[in-house]
Amino acid sequence: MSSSAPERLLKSLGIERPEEIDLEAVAWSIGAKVKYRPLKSCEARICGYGDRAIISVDSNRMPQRKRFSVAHEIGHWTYHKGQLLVCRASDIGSFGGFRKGAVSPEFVADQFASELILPSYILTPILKQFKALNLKTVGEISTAFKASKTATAIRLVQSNQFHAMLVCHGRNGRRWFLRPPCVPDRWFPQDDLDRDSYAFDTLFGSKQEQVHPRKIGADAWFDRSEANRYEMFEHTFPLPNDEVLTLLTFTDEEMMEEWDTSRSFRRR
Amino acid sequence: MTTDGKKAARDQVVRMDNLIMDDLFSMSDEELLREAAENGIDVAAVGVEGQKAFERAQQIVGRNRLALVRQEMSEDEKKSPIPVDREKAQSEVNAILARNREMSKKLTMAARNEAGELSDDMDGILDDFVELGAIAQGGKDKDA
Repeated sequence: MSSSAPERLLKSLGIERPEEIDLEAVAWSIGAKVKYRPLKSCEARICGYGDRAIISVDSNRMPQRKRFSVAHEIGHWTYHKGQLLVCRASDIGSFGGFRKGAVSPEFVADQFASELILPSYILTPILKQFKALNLKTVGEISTAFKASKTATAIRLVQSNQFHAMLVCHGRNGRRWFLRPPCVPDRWFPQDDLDRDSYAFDTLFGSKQEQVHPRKIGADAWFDRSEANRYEMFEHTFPLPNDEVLTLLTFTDEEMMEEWDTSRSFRRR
Repeated sequence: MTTDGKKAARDQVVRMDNLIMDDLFSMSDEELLREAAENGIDVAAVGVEGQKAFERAQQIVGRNRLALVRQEMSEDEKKSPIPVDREKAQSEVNAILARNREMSKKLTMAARNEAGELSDDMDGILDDFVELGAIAQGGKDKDA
């Protein structure tokens, strides 16, 4: 099976375990030096000239964010050499293609960073040890890979190995969501948080991560008549900027059945 | 064995090697598979072993490369910073950016989560371009 560009980069340095993913060395191997220094205008930047570059990352950020920024800039260096780009705060989290086109340079760099920090060839064998996806799983894997919980949750849902979905809400409604191909696309989360959801309580009340996933009626999350027949698990944690991220896990197999909507449409 | 003897022996091995390779390349995939089966060779297992050997080799080469990278990084840390004349920082960088748009693709620049003005970090940007050789020491642009 062919490897992605980030995986080829890691394999070219003989990296096989999460703790071996040395991003400074990875950057150096392709001509980019990493510096940590206070930055005022941005979280990270890359200045390149010819085939050499310097990646600067704001030294005042959280370790996981610094790590993601280094990986993000390595992504730019890999794909956008010879270009002048600026990524605004609103572009962050453009991985799912719901707010931005899949070809936006920020999407490309974010996707690259995600695969560099959590590469499939190392992650997949580890994931096989976990039967279910919940925030405990996310936490253990994020610690092993020194990644943020958000980046890890995104990667795990993207792995398409779990019947799960991620939904991010802010005070003004849904910001984005991520649904893997294994979840039927009729499950489209509502714009606004249901008052019965634990996420609502986390966003507008407690601001605390739920200790355990909680069972909830699917109709709290999906505006479909069939949703009131099912239950699912909801597990929410707060994000910066007054947002919450919810991991929804589907436990009812009926919910995962694909419907042939084209045929039912013709019958009408 | 004399030097001439060694050379003759090596030539013989090369000729034999060429003969075998020619023979192999002249056979179709089907013929090769049939012959392997007749000789009791499990082609799939050989393939798996070959893949494993390749991965082992790739890892050894990669680890050697990583060690070299770390050695280079360690040597780079010992270098003294290049003194920079900051007086013309803004104009120098602007000149490079303008020229990059016009005539070259040598320059790369990207900023993540940009919230302020580029000029807020101008000193660091200038340091980087000097270190990269885009601006000659003392504020003169290398390509000017």
